[in-house]
Amino acid sequence: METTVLVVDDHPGFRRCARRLLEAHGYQVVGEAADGATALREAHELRPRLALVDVYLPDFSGFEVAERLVAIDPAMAVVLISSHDPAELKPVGAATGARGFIPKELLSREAIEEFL
Amino acid sequence: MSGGAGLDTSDRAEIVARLRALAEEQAALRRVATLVASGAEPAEVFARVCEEVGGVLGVRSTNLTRFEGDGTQTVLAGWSMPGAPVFPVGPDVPLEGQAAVAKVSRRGRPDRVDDYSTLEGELPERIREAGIASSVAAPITVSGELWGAIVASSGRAYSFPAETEARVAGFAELVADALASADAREKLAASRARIVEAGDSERRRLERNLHDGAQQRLVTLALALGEIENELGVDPGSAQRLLTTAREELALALDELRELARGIHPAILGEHGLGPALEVVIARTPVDAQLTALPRMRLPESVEAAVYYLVAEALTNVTRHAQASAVTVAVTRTKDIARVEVHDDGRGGARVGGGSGLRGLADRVEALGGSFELDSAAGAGTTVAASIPVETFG
Repeated sequence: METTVLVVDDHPGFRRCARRLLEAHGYQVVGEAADGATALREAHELRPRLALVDVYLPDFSGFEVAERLVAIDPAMAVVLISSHDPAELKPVGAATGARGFIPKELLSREAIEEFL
Repeated sequence: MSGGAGLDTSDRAEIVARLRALAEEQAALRRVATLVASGAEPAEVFARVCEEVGGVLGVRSTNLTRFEGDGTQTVLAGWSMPGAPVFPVGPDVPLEGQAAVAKVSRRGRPDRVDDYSTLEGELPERIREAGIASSVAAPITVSGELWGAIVASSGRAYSFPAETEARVAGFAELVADALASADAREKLAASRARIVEAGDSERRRLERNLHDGAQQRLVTLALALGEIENELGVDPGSAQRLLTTAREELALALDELRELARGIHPAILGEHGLGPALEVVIARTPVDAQLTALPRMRLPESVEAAVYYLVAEALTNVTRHAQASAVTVAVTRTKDIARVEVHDDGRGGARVGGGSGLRGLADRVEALGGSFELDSAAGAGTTVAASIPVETFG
């Protein structure tokens, strides 16, 4: 069974690229969200196995969204992504219940599998 | 010595009263001067002046206000006896109509309003809202220039005797220098704070632009390169299409980085000087713009940067707000001073602090020891100008 994924990022170029990459590696991208509110709604409806959440979103912070996604479904693997310096973000991300953190440019099957 | 020979009792009593009043004024002035000399915060000095004026003149409330040269005043301080009305402290208070302080700002001499109930206009309305029914104002003149005013007010109409103008004016003269010194310090501190804030805000803007622009494109590019790597052996056609997309992303990232770099500091300014840099800015201006004068020699780097940003900001304002048909830019230099003037034939009415970016320009010019000027009467075009000292050697 394919791992279902929700991609949460406000940059459409990145969402498009991430979808291509994930689908090429056998993941099923069931939803995309450009902001936190949409992400929470879609997570509720779609119950993805994995949510990739950008740290900076236009409405909520990615950390807050991660925390609320885990509350919706504790089995959901929530992984934070960002193009910011990972050293600055990892310690904060750990407190949210997110499984981990992947720098956007290093997004790959290997990086994702580590958290599933 | 006979001393008071020839004076009757009432004369003597009047002289004693005058001497006592003079002594009180001198003591009040000494207290203000001591406070200024101790390096007290300007706000504290302004508040003390209001309190001392109130005490010396025996009035129920006083304000100290600074004329801003753009048709507004900043009410710097206020004092009142318990329960007495006083005009609230704050910037951007209009200076129009027949209010006492407005008349002082136009005529430069003391004036009064004995009954505000019949005056029209925003300022009289705000004065009434503050509970004030009458006031007397006197000018504060510093180095020959009208700086602001001291205003004594009352909640009752017709409450000031005839000599109030002279007494307020007398005290205003005495405290003028102390006020000017405190005011200069306050303006300097405010200007420094604005420069720091402008720098922070600019850094935040750059970070956001980098993150949302070039950084995202490079991330996408990195992911695309990974995909291309995977596709090369499997589907060369797909790899080719991805390469085209990747090249487009890279070109856009480069454009965005160039645009950002130009905003931080235009390379052409450092390498080729003001002339070529200003020509580029002028060429981008949709209004008919001419560079009419330029010094033959290069100016110091900081002066060139200040002139460049002043012209760029002024031309942006012309484009956005002035409704002008033509604009001229002139940069001249005497031995010690560089001067820049941007003049348009638009609708005028610009002011420093109106969200036009002019406040930041004024700060930049003043930080270099220069002076900033704005002449923008409604309907008469706008001239933004600055004179900046140029250090000379030998």
